[in-house]
Amino acid sequence: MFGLISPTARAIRDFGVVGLNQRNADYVLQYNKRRFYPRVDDKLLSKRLAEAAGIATPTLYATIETARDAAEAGDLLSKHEDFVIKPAQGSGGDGIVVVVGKTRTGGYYRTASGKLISEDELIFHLQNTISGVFSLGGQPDVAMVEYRVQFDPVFEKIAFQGVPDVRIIVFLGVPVMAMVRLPTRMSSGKANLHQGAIGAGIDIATGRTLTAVWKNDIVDEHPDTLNPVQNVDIPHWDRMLDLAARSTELTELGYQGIDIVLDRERGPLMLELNARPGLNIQIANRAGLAHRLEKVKTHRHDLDKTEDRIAFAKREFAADKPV
Amino acid sequence: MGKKRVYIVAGILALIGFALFLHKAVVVGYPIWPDEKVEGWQIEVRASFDRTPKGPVDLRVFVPRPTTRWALLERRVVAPLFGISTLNADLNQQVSLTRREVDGKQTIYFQFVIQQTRTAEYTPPPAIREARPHQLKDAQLAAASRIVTAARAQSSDDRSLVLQLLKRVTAKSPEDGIAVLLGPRRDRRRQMVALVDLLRVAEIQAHMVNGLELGATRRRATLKHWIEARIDGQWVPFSPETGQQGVSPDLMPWWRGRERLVTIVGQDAAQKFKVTRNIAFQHLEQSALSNVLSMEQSRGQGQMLFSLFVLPVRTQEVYRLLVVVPLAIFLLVLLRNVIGITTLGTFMPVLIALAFRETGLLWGVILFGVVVGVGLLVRAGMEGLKLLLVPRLAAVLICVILIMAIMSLVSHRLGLDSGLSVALFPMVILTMTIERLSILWDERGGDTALKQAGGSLIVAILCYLLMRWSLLEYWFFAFPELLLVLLALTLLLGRYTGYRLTEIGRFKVLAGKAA
Repeated sequence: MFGLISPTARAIRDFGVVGLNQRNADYVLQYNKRRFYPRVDDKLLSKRLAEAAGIATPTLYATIETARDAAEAGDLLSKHEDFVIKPAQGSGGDGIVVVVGKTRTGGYYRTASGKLISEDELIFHLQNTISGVFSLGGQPDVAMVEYRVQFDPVFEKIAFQGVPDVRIIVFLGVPVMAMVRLPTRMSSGKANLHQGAIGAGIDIATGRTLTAVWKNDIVDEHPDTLNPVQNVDIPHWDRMLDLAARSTELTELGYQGIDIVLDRERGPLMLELNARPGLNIQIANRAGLAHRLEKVKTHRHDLDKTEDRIAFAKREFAADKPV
Repeated sequence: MGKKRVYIVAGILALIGFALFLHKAVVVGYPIWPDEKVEGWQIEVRASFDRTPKGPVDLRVFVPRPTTRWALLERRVVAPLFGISTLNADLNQQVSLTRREVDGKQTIYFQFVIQQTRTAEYTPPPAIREARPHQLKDAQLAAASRIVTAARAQSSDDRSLVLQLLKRVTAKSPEDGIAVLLGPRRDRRRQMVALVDLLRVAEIQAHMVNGLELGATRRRATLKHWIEARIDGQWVPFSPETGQQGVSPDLMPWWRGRERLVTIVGQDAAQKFKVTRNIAFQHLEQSALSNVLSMEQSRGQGQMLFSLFVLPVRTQEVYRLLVVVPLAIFLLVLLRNVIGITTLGTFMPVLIALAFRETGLLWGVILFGVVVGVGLLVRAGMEGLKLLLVPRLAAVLICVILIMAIMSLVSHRLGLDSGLSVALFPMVILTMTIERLSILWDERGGDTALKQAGGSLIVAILCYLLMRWSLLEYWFFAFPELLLVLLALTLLLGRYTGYRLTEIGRFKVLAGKAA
C-alpha cells in the first residue's frame, strides 16, 4: 500500500522483501497449523522430537519444574562446571543465563558476560522462570539446564564470549535463506539479534558468509573483535542443510526457522525451532525472501525427497545467482 | 485463495451496514449531522372557567395526533390536582382532566411542541368505520336538499360536486338556501359545518378539520377550518381559502369534527358554565434528531429496528461509550499493523484511552507517567526481596493503588478536582504493564522499554482523541449498523500484507540494492 506513495517502498517490494504482515498472513497463518506450535514453542518438546528423529541436540542435564526443584538447584548444578539455563517456553532469548564457571571461593557463578551471580540469585531466577515471567503467554514454565556448547574455533575471531548459531529459514522443507548470528558484548554473549548480536548472511550453495547486519545497519566487521565477518566458511554446512531440510518432518510446520550450533566436539546440534522467524535475515543476506518463497511454492511438487530439496536450494538460492 | 473469501465476507457486511444506514438516513429521515435543525412551534392552550357552585369537573382538550408530517413532542399539562388521562377515538385524541371537587375560578394550561418533518405528503385521517349522518331537520334539510340537487346538476362527479358546494358555501353573499343553513353567524367555522352537512345530504362522507396555520412568521393564533371528503375511497382535503382541493402544507390538523377544542363533559343544564380558551403559539428551532425520534415512537415498534434510542437513558449512556470503542480498536489496528508502532499490550492502549475519558487528557497522561514511573521504582526496590512472581505483582498493585490515593489527596489539597476521577483507571492493567516494562528493561535495555511505553502512550492518546470526536460518537450511536462497515474494514486489514511504515525505514538499506 505504501508503494503508492513511497519509492523506497516500491524498491523494497521489487527487491522481494517480506514484511511482518506478509510473513504472518501469507506464510505463518497459511502454512503453520496452530496445533503444531507447541512443538517449536516448547523447547523441551522440540528436544524430544529431535532425539526421536535422530537429530542431535545439546544434552539436557536437568529440568526445574517446581519450586522445590528450584530450591534444591544448588545441588543439581554442583555437578556441572558450566551450563545454560533456558526457559522452555521463552522467546527472543529472554531468561537465558549462560554460566561459564564457578568462582573458587564464595560459590559464585560466572556468566558469559563476566557478571558474578550468587546461588540465591540463580534460584530466584529459576523461580521466576517457573512462574512464567519469560514464557510467551505468561503461563507457568519449566527451566531447562543444558550442556553449554563450545563453539568451533572457526568462530573465534568473529564471536564475543558466546556461541554463534546458524539460523536457517525453511519453507516447505526447503532451506531458503540462512545467516549466522554472532554474539557481541552488547548481546551479553547471546546470539540474539534483538539483544545486539550480529547476523551475517550465508550463501546457501557454499556455506560461506556474506556481509552482515547489526541493529538494522549493514556492517563488515565485528564491533568487538574488529575482524571481518565476510567469507568465513561454515564447517559441516551440508549437514546443517540436511538438518534444516528434515526439520519440517519433526514439526509439520510449513514455515519455520531452525537454529543450529556448531559444537567443537559434537558437531552441529539443533538448538531450537521457531514458528515465527524474524525478518532481519533479509538484511543480513541483502536479499528478499519473497522471490525465493515463490520459487519454492511453484516447484513444491517436485521436492518430495530431502536430497532433492537440498539440491534445489543450492541451485536456486546461490548468492551469485541473479534473482 | 484466502483473500477472496475475506473480500466476500467483508463486502457482504459492508453492504448490509450501508443499506441499513441509507434506509435510516433517507427513508426514515435520521439527520446525518447531529445539529441539524428543524422548525417547531410551541403551542399553549389556556382554558379558564368558574365552577360555582363547587362540584366535579371533566375537562377535555383535543390533542393533535402525530403524523408523518407533524411530530408531536413534549406534552405538558398544568392542572393542579386534576387527574390526567388520554382518550383515543378513531379520528381524534383527547386529554381528559378530571377532579372530584372544584370550587370557583380555575385555569388550566395545556402545552405541546409541534415540528414539521421533511416528508411533505398530506396524511389522511385514519378511516372511520361508519359514515356519520347529517343532523339537519325541517327547513334546513329542505334547503340543503335543494342546494345539493342544484349543485349536482352543475357538476360531473363527486369531486366537482364538492367544489361546487364549497363555492356556494363560501360565497361572499350566500344564496338564500345557504343563509338558512348558516344561521346568524357566518364565520368560517360555520361555513364548514354547513358544508359538511350538505355533503352528508349528498351522501358523501365528510368531516370538518380544525387546525393551525404554522409558518415561519408569527401569526395570530386563530384556528383554521377546512374539510375532508371521501372521494373514490380516499380522504381528500379541500381548502375554503383557495376553493380548491388540497390544503397548504403549513396547516397542521389538530382535530376533526365540530366539537369545540375545550369542552367540559357531563354538565347538566343548571350548571352550565363557560369556558374561555386562548391559544398562543411560538416559533422555535428544534433538533432534527428529537423530531425523528418522536416520529418513530408514533409509528410504533416496527421501525425502531436498530435504534439504540429505545433503550432507557442510563443504558443509552453506556452504549454511547461502547459504540466508539470499536473505532478506537480499529485505529489501534491501523497504528500497529499499518504504521508499525509497537505497544506494550495488545489492547492496553484502548483501556488507557477509556480511562482518559474519565480523567481528562492532561491529567491522565500525568497519572499514567507517575503511576508507571513510581511502579517501576517500587518494583526495582523489591528486587532485593526476591519475591515470587504472583505475590510480587500483587504487592506492586497495592502500591499502585496507594500511589493513586496519595495523588488524589494531594490534588484535592491543591484544589484540583481532576485527580479525583480515577475510578476507571485500569490499575490491574497498569500493574501488568509495570511488570512487563521492567522485564523488558532488564532484558532488552532501557531504550526498548521506554520506546514501547512511549508508543503505547501515543496510541492511547490518539485513540482517546478519536473517541472524543463528537461527530463520530453521534454517527455510531444513531447508526450502529455502521459498525458492520467498520467490521468489514477490520476484516480487510486482517489480510493486509503490505509493509508497515516503520519497516520501510528498517529495510531502507536494501532499497539501493536492486537485483
